[in-house]
Amino acid sequence: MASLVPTLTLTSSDVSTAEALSLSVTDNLAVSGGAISFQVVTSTTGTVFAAAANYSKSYVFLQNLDANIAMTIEKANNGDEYMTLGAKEFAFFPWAAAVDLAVDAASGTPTLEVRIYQAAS
Amino acid sequence: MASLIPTLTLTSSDAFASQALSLSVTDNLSVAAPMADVSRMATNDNIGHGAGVILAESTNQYYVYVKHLGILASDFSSASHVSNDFVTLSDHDATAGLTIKLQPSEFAFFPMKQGDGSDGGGNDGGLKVTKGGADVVIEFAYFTRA
Repeated sequence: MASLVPTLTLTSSDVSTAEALSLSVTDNLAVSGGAISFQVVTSTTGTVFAAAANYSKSYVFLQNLDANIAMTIEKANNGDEYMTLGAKEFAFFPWAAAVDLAVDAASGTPTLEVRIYQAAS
Repeated sequence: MASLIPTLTLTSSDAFASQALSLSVTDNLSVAAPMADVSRMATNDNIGHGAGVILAESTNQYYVYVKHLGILASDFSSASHVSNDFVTLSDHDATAGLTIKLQPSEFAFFPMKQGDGSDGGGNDGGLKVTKGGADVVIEFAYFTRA
């Protein structure tokens, strides 16, 4: 078993006129089993990049590497849609691995970076 | 319009045998109202849209932060059960799961897809937190993509 330490900060000087936003959270996650890092060349047809059947609960990092084109994270091609990753945007979340993760580009063939760290059971 | 700067680091000294993990990403996001600065609620609280609903159905896109604080809603103090008292995130009416499952102390940050703004089907939008066991307390913030 190994440790994965995620730290998220959210800062803003102008979301409020009365107070600056300065949030910082961290955790120490126990991980074991698969730890997969890969990049997917996406298309405008939704394609599964992480099949739930192949994973147990995992910590997922996604980043749209394209500078212009957005992409949607969804359940399947034309299935329920969960997230929109704008250009260069990222997401980090504990994935229950209950349904698949698929990606669908708004246009072209932008690249999605994927990192999946399986949680220790 | 305002700027939101999220930064995420992922580190590990022992996830891999031959290389330490040291990932860092940041962004500069344009955001606007409606937004919620850092807030907390119980999974059975109704803050205006129904029990456990953070965001009502909407056609807005949001940047969302949610953290399981690991304490029970009954007194906002006692520790929740490590494995039984998880929470899951879904759309407003829980018909489309985000497949996000938070155990105590875990957090998520993601750009949430806009819904079609109407009830029914899998793309209603909105965000609901649902308890796995006992009602617990979460921390959250959201910002509309400008």
